[in-house]
Amino acid sequence: MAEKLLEVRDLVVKFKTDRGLVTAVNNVSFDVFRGKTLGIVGESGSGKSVTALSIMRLIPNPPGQIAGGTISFKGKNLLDIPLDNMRSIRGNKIAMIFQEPMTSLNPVFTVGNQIEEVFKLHQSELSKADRKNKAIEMLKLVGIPSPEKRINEYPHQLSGGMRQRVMIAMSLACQPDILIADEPTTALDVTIQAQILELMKKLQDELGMGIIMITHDLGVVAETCDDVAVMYCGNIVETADVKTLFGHPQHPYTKGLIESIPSFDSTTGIKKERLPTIEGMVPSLFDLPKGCNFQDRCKSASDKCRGGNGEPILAEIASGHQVSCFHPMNY
Amino acid sequence: MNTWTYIARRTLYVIPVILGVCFLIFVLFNVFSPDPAMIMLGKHATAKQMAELRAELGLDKPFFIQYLDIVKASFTFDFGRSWSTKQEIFQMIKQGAIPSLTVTLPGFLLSTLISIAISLLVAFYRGKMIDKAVVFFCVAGMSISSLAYILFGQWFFAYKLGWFEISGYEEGFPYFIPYIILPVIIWVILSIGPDVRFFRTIILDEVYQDYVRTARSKGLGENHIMFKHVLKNAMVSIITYVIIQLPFLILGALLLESFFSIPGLGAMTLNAINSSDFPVIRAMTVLSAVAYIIFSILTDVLYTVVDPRVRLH
Ligand SMILES: Nc1ncnc2c1ncn2[C@@H]1O[C@H](COP(=O)(O)OP(=O)(O)O)[C@@H](O)[C@H]1O
Ligand SMILES: [Mg+2]
Repeated sequence: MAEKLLEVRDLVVKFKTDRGLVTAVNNVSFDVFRGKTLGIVGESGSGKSVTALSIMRLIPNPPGQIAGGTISFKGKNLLDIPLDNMRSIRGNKIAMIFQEPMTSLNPVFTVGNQIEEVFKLHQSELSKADRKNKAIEMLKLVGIPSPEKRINEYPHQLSGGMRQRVMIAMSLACQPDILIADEPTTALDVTIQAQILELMKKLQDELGMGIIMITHDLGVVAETCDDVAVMYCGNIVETADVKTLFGHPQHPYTKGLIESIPSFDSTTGIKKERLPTIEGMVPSLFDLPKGCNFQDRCKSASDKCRGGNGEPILAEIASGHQVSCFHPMNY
Repeated sequence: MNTWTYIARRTLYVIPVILGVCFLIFVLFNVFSPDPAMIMLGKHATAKQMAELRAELGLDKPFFIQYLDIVKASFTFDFGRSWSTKQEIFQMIKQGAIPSLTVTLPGFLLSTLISIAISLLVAFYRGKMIDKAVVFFCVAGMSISSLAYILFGQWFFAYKLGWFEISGYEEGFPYFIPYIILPVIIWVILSIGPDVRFFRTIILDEVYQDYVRTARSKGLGENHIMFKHVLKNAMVSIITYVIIQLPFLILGALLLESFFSIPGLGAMTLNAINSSDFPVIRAMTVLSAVAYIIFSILTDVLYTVVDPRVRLH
C-alpha cells in the first residue's frame, strides 16, 4: 500500500452571500496516496475548486469559511496550524495549478523570475545562479524547448499550452508531495490537453507525487486517475477506483456522466457530438430540494428520494466503493 | 521598434497638433470673442483711437496673416508682449515657472507618494473598518470646496496660530520655503481624496486577479504579493494618471497662487484672463498643448518599461 499523504474528513465549507449562507462543500472525505491520482469529477459549481482551495487554505475569507472537518497532511491537521507554517507548505509540499493558464501567471514578470521566486522562498540556501539553473532545469523537465531563452520571456510570449507547462514547472519546482490540478486542461485544445496530461503522468512516475486531478470530464479521469470521487452539489455521491466506477457505476448521476463522455472517432481522431444524457440543470445551492439533490434529474427517483427520509448517506456497498443513493444500480 | 525612433516620430506629430491648436485659438480669440480694442479702451473710445490700437496689436492684418503670426510665435516661443504689462511674454513665463514649480512639484510628489502608500494600505485591509473610514474621508474631503481649505488654512494656521506665512513669496532657495509650506499642504490635502480613490480602485482590481491566487499558492506572504506582484501591475495604470498631471504642474496652480500671492504662472494666467490679456492666454494655451504632448510621449515610453506586453509602434 502506498503512503497515505492526505486524509480529508468531513470537510464543510460555507460562503456568506447576499442571498444567504450556502454550503459549497458538504461533508467531503477522501484520501490521497503517494504516486496515485485521485480524480474529483463533477459539473461546474459542484464544489471541486472550493475543495481544492480548502486544502491550500486559500478560500477567500470573507465570504468563505471552512466550517468543519479535518485536512490531515502526513498526520498533521492543516486547518490547525498557524498561517506561517501553512505558507511554508504551499508551493513546497503541496502545490497547485489552475484552470486559467492565460491569466494565472503574472504578466509583468518573466517566466524565470516567477519560477525562481519559489526557490527563493522555499530553498533560500540556493545562490542566485543556482536558482536560475534550477529554473532552466524545470523548464526542460516540462518539455519547453530552448529553456535558456524562454526563461527571459514574459507570459504573453507563450501559448496557452506553454504557459500551463510553466505553471507545472513552477508547481513541481520544490518536488511537492501533492500536486492539485484544478481543471488543468479545460482551457486548452484537445491535442494540447493530451500532451499536458501525458506530461503530468510522466512527471508523477519520475517524482512520485500524489495528484488530485479535478475535472468535469470523465474522459480525463479514465486516462489519468487511479481513484475517483464524483461530486454533486457539494457532496461526494460516489467514490471508487477507476475500474469499478466505470465498470459498475452505482449512482444514476455517475452513470449519466459516463454515458455523456464524448467518444472519439478512432479513424479521424475527431470528437463526436456529446450526448446530453443527464437532463435538467443542477439545482441552486440556495434552494436544494428536500431529500436527494439529484431527484429532479433522476429517472429512477421514487417518493423515498423526494420525501422526508432525509438525504441519502454515502455508504459502502463493496470494498472501497461508496455511493449515496436510495436506489443504487447494484452489481 | 527602437525607443529613440519612436520618440523622434512622435515628436514630429507635435507639428500638426500645434497647427490645430493655433487654429482653434485663433478662431476662439479673433472670431468669437469681443473686439479686444474695445475691451482695452472701454465703450467711450473714439473710432480713431480704436483703429490705432488695432493697428498696434496687429488686429488689422488679414486673418490668414494673423493665424501665421500665432503659428510662428508657437514654434519660436516668441509670443510678443503682454497687452497689460507690456513685458515680453517669454520673460514672464521664465520668471513665473520657478515659483510655480516650487509649489506644484513638492505638492505633486508628496501627494502621489502618500496616496499610493494609503491605497496599498487600504487595499490590504479591503472591506475592513480602516478601508471604509479612508474612503469616507476621501469622499467627504472631495465634497468640500477647495476655497474652503485655502481660506481656513490661511485664517487658522497662518493668521490665528501664526505657524506659516499668510501669503507672499521670496525668490531663491531657501527663502521661498516658509511661503510654500501651507500651499503645499493644501495641495496635498486637495489631491489625496481623488488620488486615493483612483489608486485604490486600480489596486483592488489587481488584488482579485488570478496571478495573485497563484502567488499565494506558491507560499508568498501578503506583503510580498502587494509590493511585488500587485504594485507593479497597478503601476501601469497609475503611471498614466500621474504623468498626465505633470503638464499642469508647469502651468501652475491657479487658485493657490493667487490666494497666496505667489508670482507663478497660475497667478499670471488668472490675471491675464481677468484683464483679457489675449497674448498671454494664447501663450499659456500653446504651452499647455505642447507640454501635454511631450508628457503623453513620456507616458508611452514608460509603459514599455513597466508592462512587457506593450510595444511601441
Ligand atoms: N468566492 C465565492 N463567493 C461565494 N460563493 C462561492 C465562492 N466560490 C465558490 N462559491 C460557491 O461554491 C460553489 C462551488 O464552486 P466551485 O467549487 O468553484 O465549483 P466547481 O466545481 O465548478 O469548481 C459555487 O456554486 C458557489 O455557490
Ligand atoms: Mg472550478
